[in-house]
Amino acid sequence: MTAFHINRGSNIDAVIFGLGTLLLIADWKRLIPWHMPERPKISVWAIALVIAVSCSVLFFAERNGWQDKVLLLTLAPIALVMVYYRDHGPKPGATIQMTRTKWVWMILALVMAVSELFAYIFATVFKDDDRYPTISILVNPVLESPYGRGVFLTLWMLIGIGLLQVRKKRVKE
Amino acid sequence: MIPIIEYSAVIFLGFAAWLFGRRRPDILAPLGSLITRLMHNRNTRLALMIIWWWLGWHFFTE
Repeated sequence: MTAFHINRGSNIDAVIFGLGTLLLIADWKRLIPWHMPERPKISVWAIALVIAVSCSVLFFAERNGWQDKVLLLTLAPIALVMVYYRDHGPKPGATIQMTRTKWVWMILALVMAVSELFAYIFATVFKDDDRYPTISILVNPVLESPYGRGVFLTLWMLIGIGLLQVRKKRVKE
Repeated sequence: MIPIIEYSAVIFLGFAAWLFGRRRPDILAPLGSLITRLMHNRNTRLALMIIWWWLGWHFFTE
């Protein structure tokens, strides 16, 4: 990914993926002495507050403004710290259903990635973004609107929270 | 036009797989269980969060 971004002249993306790769290697080789607390659990209200504050930053700031960058750079270490927790409890079993599900989602992700890659290649070769739009090209007009940015940011943050599974669940009485 | 059809098909099939996993977990595991399994490994967690954060950076600041 880093090489691909260098090749397409996107230096910032190359730096992000380069640093990400170094971080993954450091984690794999246990080079960083991380403190491993229990998995954090965050209340729905705290999550809603963070999303609301982040949405208002993107809503009132100009797109690509310094405020957007500060927001994303603030969220990066928070997300990184939240990855480091001790995971107790059993790992869901490798059942036949789980293997099947893994394959289904892997194929879907692969089809999406290959479609995007070919759209990018064809758009570059034929200089035709309209006929071969990448996802960024399709989403850009929506992100130009403050409302669109708010909706996308909410979705993006909810996906992150869903991945980390840090939402505190309500206890049934 | 072809990429749009491909993206739409993936989104539609993804939604169908998510729904099917909820309705028939005996055939396809729910997406939540798959995520729990993937996120059990710290290195995978880290990789997925890097990609997730990059998507935000890519769409909101570039």
